[in-house]
Amino acid sequence: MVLLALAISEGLGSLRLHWSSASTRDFDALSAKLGQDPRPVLAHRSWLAPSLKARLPAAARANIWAAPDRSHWSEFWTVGHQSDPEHLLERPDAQAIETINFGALVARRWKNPKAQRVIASLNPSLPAPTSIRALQQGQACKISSRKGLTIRCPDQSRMQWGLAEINYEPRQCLRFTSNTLNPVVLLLELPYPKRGGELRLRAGFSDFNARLRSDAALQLQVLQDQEVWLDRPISDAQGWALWQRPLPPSTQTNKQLQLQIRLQLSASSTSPASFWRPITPCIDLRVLEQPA
Amino acid sequence: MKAQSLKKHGLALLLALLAFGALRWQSPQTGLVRDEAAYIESSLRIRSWLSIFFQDPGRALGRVDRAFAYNHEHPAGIKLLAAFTVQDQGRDRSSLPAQRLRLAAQLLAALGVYLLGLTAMRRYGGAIGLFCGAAFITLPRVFYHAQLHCFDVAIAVATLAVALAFIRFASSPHTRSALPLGLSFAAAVSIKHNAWLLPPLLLVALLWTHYPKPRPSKAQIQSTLAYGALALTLGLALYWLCWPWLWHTPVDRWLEYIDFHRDHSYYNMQFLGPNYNQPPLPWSYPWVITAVTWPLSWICLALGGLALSLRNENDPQTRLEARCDVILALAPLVLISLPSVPIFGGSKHWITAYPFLCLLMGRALFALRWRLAPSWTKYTWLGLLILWSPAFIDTLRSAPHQIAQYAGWFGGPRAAARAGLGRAFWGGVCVPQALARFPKASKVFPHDTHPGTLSAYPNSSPQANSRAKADVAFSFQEAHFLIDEIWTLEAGFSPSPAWVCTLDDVPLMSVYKK
Repeated sequence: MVLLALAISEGLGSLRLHWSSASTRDFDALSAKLGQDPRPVLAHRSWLAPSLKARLPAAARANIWAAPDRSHWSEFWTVGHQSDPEHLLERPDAQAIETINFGALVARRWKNPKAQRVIASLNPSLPAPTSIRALQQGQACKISSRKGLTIRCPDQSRMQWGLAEINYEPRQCLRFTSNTLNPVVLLLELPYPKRGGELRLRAGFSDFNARLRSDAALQLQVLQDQEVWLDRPISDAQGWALWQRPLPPSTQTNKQLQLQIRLQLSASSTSPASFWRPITPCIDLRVLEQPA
Repeated sequence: MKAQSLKKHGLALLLALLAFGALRWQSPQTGLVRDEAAYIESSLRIRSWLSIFFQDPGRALGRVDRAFAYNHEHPAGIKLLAAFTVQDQGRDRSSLPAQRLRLAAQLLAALGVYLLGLTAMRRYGGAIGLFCGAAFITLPRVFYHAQLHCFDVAIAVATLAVALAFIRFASSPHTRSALPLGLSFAAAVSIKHNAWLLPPLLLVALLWTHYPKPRPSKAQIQSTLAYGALALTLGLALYWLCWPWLWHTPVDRWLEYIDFHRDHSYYNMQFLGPNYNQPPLPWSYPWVITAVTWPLSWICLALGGLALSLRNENDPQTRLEARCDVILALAPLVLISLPSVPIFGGSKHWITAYPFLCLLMGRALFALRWRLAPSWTKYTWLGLLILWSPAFIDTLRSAPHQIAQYAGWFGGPRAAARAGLGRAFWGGVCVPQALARFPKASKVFPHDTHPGTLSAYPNSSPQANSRAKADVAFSFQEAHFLIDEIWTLEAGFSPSPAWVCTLDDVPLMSVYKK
């Protein structure tokens, strides 16, 4: 009897799964409501993202296609599936202010009271740094911003803003490709947040093969105003690693933040014997300022 | 008695015909998978060789290597069988007779349903027998693989045939029982390399049956060894005969074939988040995947059957049946669990265990039935129908994407996507549906779909060799293909997919347009 009860519940469970799938009507209703909304729309789970992007062009915009850093969004929508209770859980970084059901789909509007303004970023769609220079073994690299930020160094190493697959998520970041072990040094001058804020640096690796090999593939050194902030090997096991540095308010006018980022691939990642593609580290950097 | 036996044959045959009909019905909707494309090409080359062989055998002998070198990492068995179902089309590949070539594997799958149903009926009665046969083919993943011009369900069926022939042979070693054993072993090794493990596994089953007693007599041992050697010799001779690739330098080529599978390249398998493409795959992989793709009630039954099979039956025949079921149900999963084994792929690589898991379910059901009050036995059919329903519902509702189906108790494909389990692989899923949605004039970048197979579909489109030259690009939703999706966007395709093929809302393939 227990087995029969189990089989009945399994059969009914399968039918329930079938009937609880999102219909075209659900997506149409969602699209009618959020299609013109200026706030960003994200899929709560990455597996829902392709369907959402197909039905809701706002969700396919470049800055949302790649799982974005939400720290500067004051409000945004997430769309989840009714069958996923985690979508309705509270978030540490945002408060739910509206929930709308669209059949099998649920849209939730979130407010981030701590949202900060981006005053400088490597992302071309956000405010740019005051200046960028790049050096390799004392020689200057060529910098172009015609098609997003692109840096070409004397040994053919290259850094380019674009999409990368990091930890099974698409990300927008500055990809560093090199077939040598020569380090590249980025010298950045960034506006300082007068009201205070933070410096956010992210790094990851855009190659799932490298992650499985678990190389410590990048030596990352960051100097802020000549003072060492970070100096460590970055492991692919760290995923899309984040470092935050609080920046206290300052009364100085025209104060600038001097940042020196040194990137160097580790030996194993460019081994000629390696069957795999050379790994591609990728970084993102932004300076945020507290709201007024 | 004879009428009873005929009835069992009739019922098993009816079930097999139903299964065959269902496979044929769905098959045109099921896309050609990557490896299948290689087997299709191989079958077509073999077909051309057969044409020469029937006209001029001497000339055909000189062309063996040309016909059989392609895809010689797999024996000719199924490919040869399938070659008889199509006409020689020379080098013309403008239209691939994929559905006709699938016929042989589908017939073998139906034969498996017949054998399994009949065996379970003989052991446990008509109703349970039908349940076991139906259970096997309605497992979503079995149903999916049974349609393809591939070896996976065919080798599961051949393994069952070898086991049944061996049980018969062991109880009465004689020429009459050695011949079916030799024939079925030849068929099995001619289908896939898994079958080479059968002799040691069956030997272990036999020794376990006789441990600690009854000890076989010296005469029994001698006749078993002598007729066993006869069966093995017959099997090997037929194997060699059916695979012309081995005709010229059998030992070297056979060793090369074994080495290929020992050092097999690694597939990408996503398991609980990470994508694995280098061993070791976590040892729990085949066990977890089996658990989450089988109905829970069936797993309980199979475990019950396993426990019952470990009891010491008095009847040596029943005991050997039980030992064979246990060993052949567990060995494929244990083998894939070993850290040194290459990452071959998903459930199809231990699908040979499934007929025996079904027989274990039958054993548990048989034991449960005896515990029922007599007034309840008349409801046996209804009970079995209810027990069968979860997998049947899953197979029906996930058609034609059963490869991506997960059991209802686990939460289906949505739960699997949340848990970071793989969806589909081999670049076949959703292809017929995608081609039907886009105009024939579109140039399609097929992504993981095997190049050249688009011509197998009635709505085929011209193929583009790169994303830059394509109007439409396929993108299969697998963890390791995210980078390919990024390349698609970078090639100028709209970031908003034109169509997403889903199962329970979980994307299996996206189609991008420029």
